[in-house]
Amino acid sequence: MSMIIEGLYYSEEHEWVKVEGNMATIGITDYAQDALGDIVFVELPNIDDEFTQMDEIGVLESVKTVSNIYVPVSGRIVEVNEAAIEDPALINSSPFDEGWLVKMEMYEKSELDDLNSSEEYEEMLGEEE
Amino acid sequence: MKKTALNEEHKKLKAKMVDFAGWEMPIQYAGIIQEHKAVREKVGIFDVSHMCALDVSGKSAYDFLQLVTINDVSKLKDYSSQYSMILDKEGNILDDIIVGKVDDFYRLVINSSNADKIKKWFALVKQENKFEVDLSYRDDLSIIALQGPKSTEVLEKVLGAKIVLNSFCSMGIKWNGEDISVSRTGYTGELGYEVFISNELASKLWQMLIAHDAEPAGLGARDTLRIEAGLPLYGKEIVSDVTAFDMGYGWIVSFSKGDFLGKSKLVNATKEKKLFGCILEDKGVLRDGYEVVGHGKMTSGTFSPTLNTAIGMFYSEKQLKDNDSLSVLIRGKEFKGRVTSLPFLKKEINK
Repeated sequence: MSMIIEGLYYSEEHEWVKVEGNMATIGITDYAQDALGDIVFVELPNIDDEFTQMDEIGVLESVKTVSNIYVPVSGRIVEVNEAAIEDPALINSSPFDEGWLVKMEMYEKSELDDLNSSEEYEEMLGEEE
Repeated sequence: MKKTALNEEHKKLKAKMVDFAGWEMPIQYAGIIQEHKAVREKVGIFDVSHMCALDVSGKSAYDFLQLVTINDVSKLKDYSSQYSMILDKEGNILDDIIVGKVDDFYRLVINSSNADKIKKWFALVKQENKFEVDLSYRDDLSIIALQGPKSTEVLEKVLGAKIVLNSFCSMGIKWNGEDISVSRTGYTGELGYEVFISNELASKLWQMLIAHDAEPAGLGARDTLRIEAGLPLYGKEIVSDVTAFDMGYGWIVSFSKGDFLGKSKLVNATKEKKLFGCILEDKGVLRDGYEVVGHGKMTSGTFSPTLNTAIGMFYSEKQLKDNDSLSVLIRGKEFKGRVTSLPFLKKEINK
């Protein structure tokens, strides 16, 4: 069973969003990292790049497959996880913590309403399994 | 989906299962990198029972095989095997196979993805030539591949027998009252064996190998291992418009043995194409289908756990040498790489 953390927002594409004020930290879920397998390459956007909700912002490559990263909310990139670029295995070992991907300044906090709660996400995974 | 006799074992080990050519097979257990490294450093085991074992016997067995394969079956001593191919009459590759001579029969190992096609093809050739040949598809057998530097040690312990085999040779061993067959073959570039055993005994052998520290490995690791070893795969490097010469396997083509199906295409082959390796210098991962600028499409690509970089194979009609620079298009961007001859791992396997 995949780990799910309460209090985060979850997208249909298996990204999580942690909200602190206007700031959103974004990563992929435990379910997503497990489905991808060993992640060996991460391509992330540049600081100050601006995106709208559901834009493709980067790529995760595991040994066996490639997966796009989409932003669950609109905003401006303020930080990317250099440690994860350097050592992509962090995303496998710690998807909700050390393996975060980007931090964004959110433009439209109301977009969070489009995302799932942890309970809804758990239900969604139940249907996929 | 079809299931091998080891299906329950994979599920007990919580393997991720996928549909592979109509078979429910494990793609990975603990993780591709871990499984890959176990094979390179110690020993891994693979369920390859989805591959199709075919025993060929009868008065025309030899003539049949000389006609349908491109290698020379007369070179086979008892308990030895050879890499070969099956071509259609136009010379297109239908499958790449192993042909082994046991004593009074031959055993072929056919790719699972091509099994139905080959069954039909063999039935047709048999009928057209009125061959007196018995084609016995061995669905009653499982095949467990044990690969890695410690494979001899582990297999000897589990089977309780001394195993001394040269590459591409096989032997029969009595185990739990059954005659099982051990062949020194594999698809990883490592020392290794393939064990042919009844479906009834397969789980017992599988469990005992794991109890002796063999790491279960799935199709994911099988692919990264074979790419590092520069070994071609049907459907990737082996497609209808290439020949054994292009693949660097001209030595399996026997023109001297007489006629065989598809021979004229090989006689007239231009031999302009050659298979090369690409090592990516930029960070990224290579995949099949990516364009190698000025050469063609990448046939296979992956991340090499041993070299810790991306590697891939491609055909080129140009004369290339080691370290020539390459450019590969990944998502529209050019990534830098360099040429290497195959295999990627220039590893000495103890003979």
